[in-house]
Amino acid sequence: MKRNIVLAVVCMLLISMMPIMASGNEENTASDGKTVVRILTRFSNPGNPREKYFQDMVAKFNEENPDIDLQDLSISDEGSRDTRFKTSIASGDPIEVFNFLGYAANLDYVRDGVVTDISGEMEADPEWVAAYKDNLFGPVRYDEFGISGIYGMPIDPYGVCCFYNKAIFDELGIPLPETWEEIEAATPALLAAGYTPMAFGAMENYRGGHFYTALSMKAYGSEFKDALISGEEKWNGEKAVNLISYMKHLYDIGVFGENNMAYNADGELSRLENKQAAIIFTGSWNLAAVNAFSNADDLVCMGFPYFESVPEHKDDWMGGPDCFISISSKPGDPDYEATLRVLKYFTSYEYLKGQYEYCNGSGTYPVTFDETIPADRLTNEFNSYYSNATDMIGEIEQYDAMASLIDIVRTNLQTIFTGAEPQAIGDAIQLEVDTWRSMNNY
Amino acid sequence: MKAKYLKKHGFGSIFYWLIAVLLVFLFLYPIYFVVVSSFKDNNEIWYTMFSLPEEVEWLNYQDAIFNVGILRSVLNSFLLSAGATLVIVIVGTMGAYPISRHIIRGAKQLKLYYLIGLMVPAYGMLIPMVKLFTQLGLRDKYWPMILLYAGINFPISMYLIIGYLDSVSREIDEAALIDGCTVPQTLFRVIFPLCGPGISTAGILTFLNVYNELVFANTLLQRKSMMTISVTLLGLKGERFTSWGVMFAAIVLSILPILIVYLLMQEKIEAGVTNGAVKG
Repeated sequence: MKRNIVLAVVCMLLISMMPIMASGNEENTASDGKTVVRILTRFSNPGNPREKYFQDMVAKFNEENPDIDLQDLSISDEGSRDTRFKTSIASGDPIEVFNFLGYAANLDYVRDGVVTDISGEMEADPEWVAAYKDNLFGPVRYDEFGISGIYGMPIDPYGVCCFYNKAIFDELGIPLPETWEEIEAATPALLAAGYTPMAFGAMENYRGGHFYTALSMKAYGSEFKDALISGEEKWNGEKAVNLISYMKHLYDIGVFGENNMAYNADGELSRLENKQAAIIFTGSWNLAAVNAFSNADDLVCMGFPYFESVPEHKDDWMGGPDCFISISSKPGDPDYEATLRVLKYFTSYEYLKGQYEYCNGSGTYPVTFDETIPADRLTNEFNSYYSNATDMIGEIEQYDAMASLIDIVRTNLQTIFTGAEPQAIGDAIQLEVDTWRSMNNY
Repeated sequence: MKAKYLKKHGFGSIFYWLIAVLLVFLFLYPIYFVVVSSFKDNNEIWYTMFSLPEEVEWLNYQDAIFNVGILRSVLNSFLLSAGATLVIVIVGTMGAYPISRHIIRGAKQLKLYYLIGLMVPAYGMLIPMVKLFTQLGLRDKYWPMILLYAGINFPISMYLIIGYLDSVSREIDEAALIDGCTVPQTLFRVIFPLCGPGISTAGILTFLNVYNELVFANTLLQRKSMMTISVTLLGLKGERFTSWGVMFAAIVLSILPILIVYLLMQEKIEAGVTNGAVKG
């Protein structure tokens, strides 16, 4: 009896799958004379309002442009996105529209002609770029490497910031700490009351990388980044190791709490919402998420803490443009016109304004909006700090032509939470840098 | 009562049961965690990791089915796995038989040739495969992927089936031939049923390998409607935000078909796996 059931089920499955498999997927067959354009971003999670908005707009684009078959290949997992992008290049069929991180770390893509210069198109269509903030294009300009042009449209400027649970500080009668000295002073009281002073989810290595750059800006300003990239400063030099030592010091005195390797950025948010953490260090990308918290009224947004002893760098920030949309099609390619239309659609003022409204205002945008919905309280608080920034840089390693440096630095900084010594961490990073530079005659 | 039990069974028995309970806990805990988390929101998953949900979040399942399209991904994974398994069972057996019985000239060399397939890592072929699929327009299609997966799993399956065939006496073949069977009839009517456990092992391994495969699926099946389970689940791991509840709900939904297949074919699978342990 059981055998018969099994056979019946197997037969039914095989019969039912035959027509599907024989026809393949109808959607993927040649698209009736349509120009196929593929777009690859990291927006694939419909649980995130911004990513859902992108997916809805892909569907809308296909409806409005019957002559183009826009295929959304987006996948939010970074490794999977990179595999898709790199294999498409290696197989000689680069994806037409893609998210691009810019900076020197991605110089090779520009130098090898994978990314197309769009400066001519920007000049030809000034209305398209009129609302964009000019200072956001720096990471996609490569003039210092002898390459002219602009290689992408910024879509995601950001700034690091902190969210404080004001209710906790009020409960303990502690004024909101704005400097590292004040945070250190408040730590014993916060720990005694059972709170983590500043949750740090080190499970994901980018947390350490972000923190290091943000801290370096408050300690030394952007000159330190320039010196590191030029080789004047070393990753195992005094200044660089001092920063790592300070991170380790904060960890040792309990500012970051315990079990940091057991949770990630989502865990930080959860600790903030559940009143376990007094502060979290994050970025403007989480404004929408924090706004939706059940205790959002208790939370305030402030800048990354600075040092009382170094007031001149109080308003130096980690932030700026983070992600760009670029194209690989070249003028003269059969799909160039269609590709350009896709690029303009997803970087248009209307698209960004729609996103702003869909996400209820939260976040930072590359364009200045005219009449639109008012921003929420947390975004306004963020902007009050952000607008005072006197200097701003992305993560230090992004400025280095050594593409693997970002991962090397982040991974090594992660070992602070497993007991590694600051000098050993600096030495490990510098060794990799020296090896790469000698191999590349840099 | 207790003393009587101890006298009869000894402390070894208690130790045995303790270990058994511990193992049951170890194996069931991940399933418990996944199922319970599938009914929580992100905050509750992190805050109360081990407890039951305070409020059941059915929305996770709704999102997993309608927004994420996990059922389509489950169907895709199932079709690819079943297709590759079918090809392996038929072609693998047909290929293994002449090699095992030395019916063709150069059988030994052919066996060695298939060994290369085991020695070359499949992912080393990724770029040429992407190029081939792109040039021939084979991306986002079922049959090319089924053949690719069958090809990748062919060498190991061949060796498993050959190993089992070698243990089946040749006198059975001779008896079948004397009774008037042709070679194909001998293979499919006599040898095939006798090699059931060996072929099942190869089939199960192929099915599981394909069901869980990620790299080729990620690069060759890129349209939403063609994505497999593993690729779809990665799509939920956001740039800076992961929908854990939805992801766990999707995992539960993707486990169900395998669980049903397992319950229906429990005896065969267990026999196949045990056999594989001996013959493999």
